Amino acid sequence: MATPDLDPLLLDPTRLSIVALLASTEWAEFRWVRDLVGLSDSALSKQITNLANPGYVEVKKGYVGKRPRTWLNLSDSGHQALRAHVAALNQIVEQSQRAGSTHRAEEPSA
Amino acid sequence: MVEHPSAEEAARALRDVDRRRDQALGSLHGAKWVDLTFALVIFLCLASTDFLPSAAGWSGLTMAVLALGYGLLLRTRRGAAWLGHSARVDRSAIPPRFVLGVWLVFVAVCAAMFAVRPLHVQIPYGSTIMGAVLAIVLVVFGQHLRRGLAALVRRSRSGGAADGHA
Repeated sequence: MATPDLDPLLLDPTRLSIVALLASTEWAEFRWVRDLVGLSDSALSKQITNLANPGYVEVKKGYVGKRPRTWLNLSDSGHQALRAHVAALNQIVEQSQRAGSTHRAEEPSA
Repeated sequence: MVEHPSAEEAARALRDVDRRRDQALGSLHGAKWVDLTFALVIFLCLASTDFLPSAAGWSGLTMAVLALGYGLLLRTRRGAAWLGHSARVDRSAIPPRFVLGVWLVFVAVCAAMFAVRPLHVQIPYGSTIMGAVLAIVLVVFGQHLRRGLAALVRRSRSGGAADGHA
């Protein structure tokens, strides 16, 4: 059975959740992602660094009034990586379903 | 997840991707004070046509400027943050048939308004009543309406792209 091209970075469920959340947005505030994923500031910051290193997530910092804000957005390569990863996951599920139906067809009837 | 996930793990990951996308669409909301400001402006603009008929021109202009300013502010990160929006939905995440549906409803409402216009139905303080109703709907049901729209987007999206397909 051929192994589909899974993205090792997106095999982590937390990172996959962050990327999936960001995929529906043009940009999102750090605290919005933190609240939805249910991570602490430091844990999310660590995951964002992991995703920013290969260029999947872009980070912009700024101020609104006197309050500092951090905005995140999924880059084109991040979108591409998610699409490829989802396609690979679909392939695994489909291969398993095909193998299951072939196995059932080969079983002798009782 | 392991390096070579099983079919069950892959299916779980796909469900999680879909759930997170739905969650993102359902968690977009603005500040309450924006609803209150819009409600007040809509009420004042419509009430002015009853009490200050000469002001009908500038009240429409005020509404247009406010709507345009709101739209422009939402396009920028700082402006949206100021309006209480923590994220901006990606247009590609909204199914085209949902956008088409919204446009059809908008055209139908405009057509209905133009169809009713020649009847010259005179209701005393009709504009004020209309303004008060719209303002109350916006303040009381604004968040519910937005949640309803998000649910419609999610439903039309899940109908067209299941199992995490982009």
